[in-house]
Amino acid sequence: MAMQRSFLLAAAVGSAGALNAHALLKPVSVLRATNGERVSLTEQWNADERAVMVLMRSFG
Amino acid sequence: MFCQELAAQLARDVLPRLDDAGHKLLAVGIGTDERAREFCGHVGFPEANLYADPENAAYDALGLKKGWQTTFMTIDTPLSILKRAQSDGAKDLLDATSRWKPWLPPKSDQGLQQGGAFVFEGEQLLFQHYDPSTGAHADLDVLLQAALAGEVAQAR
Repeated sequence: MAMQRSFLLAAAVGSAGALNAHALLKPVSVLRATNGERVSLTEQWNADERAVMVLMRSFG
Repeated sequence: MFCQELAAQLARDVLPRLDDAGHKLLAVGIGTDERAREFCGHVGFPEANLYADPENAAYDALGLKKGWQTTFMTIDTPLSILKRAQSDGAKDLLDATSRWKPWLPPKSDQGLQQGGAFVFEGEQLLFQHYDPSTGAHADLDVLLQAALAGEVAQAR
C-alpha cells in the first residue's frame, strides 16, 4: 500500500516537474569515472531513452 | 558507509533489471574521478555507470537537502536503519560497514550534502526522491517500479 502511494505520488510529480528537473540539470557537467572526461550529465541519455539517476552523498 | 551500501545494492539489484529493459543507470557521487575509480574497485560498482561531481553541481542544481539538521538532527536516519533491520537484519549495511573505508569529500561542507534519486524519460521526469537525511534513500523497489512501468504497461 505504501509502495503504491509512493508510486502514485511519483507519477504526479512527473507531470508537475517534468521539464523543470531536466532543465535545471542541463548546465551541469560531471566527470566520467572511466577516464575523467568532463561530460554533460543530461547528454548521457537520449530523448527516447529512460534513465535512472542516483545521487549518492559521496564516495565514502 | 551508506553510499557504499547503496552502490552495492544498485549493482546487484537494480542495474541488471535496467540492462534487461534497455534503460540506463547513472550514479553520481561527490568527489574526484580518481576517488570514483577507487570507490568502484572497493564496492564492486561498474565504472561505466559512475560519474564524479567534485563541485556538487548536480546537487545544487536540483536543490537536494544539505546542512547540519538534515544530516544529524532528523528521525529519518534512525527510521531508515530500523527499516533495514526489520527487512533483512540490515545485512547490506553491515556488509558495507565491515569493508568501509572513511573518506572525506573535497570540501568540508560537502559532508553535509544529501542525495536523491530520479527517473527520466528523455526530458520528462517520472520519479523523484530527495533523501531527507543520511541513509534515508529511495526504496529501490519503488525506483525500479517507476523505471520499468512502461514495460509493465506494454506487457498487459
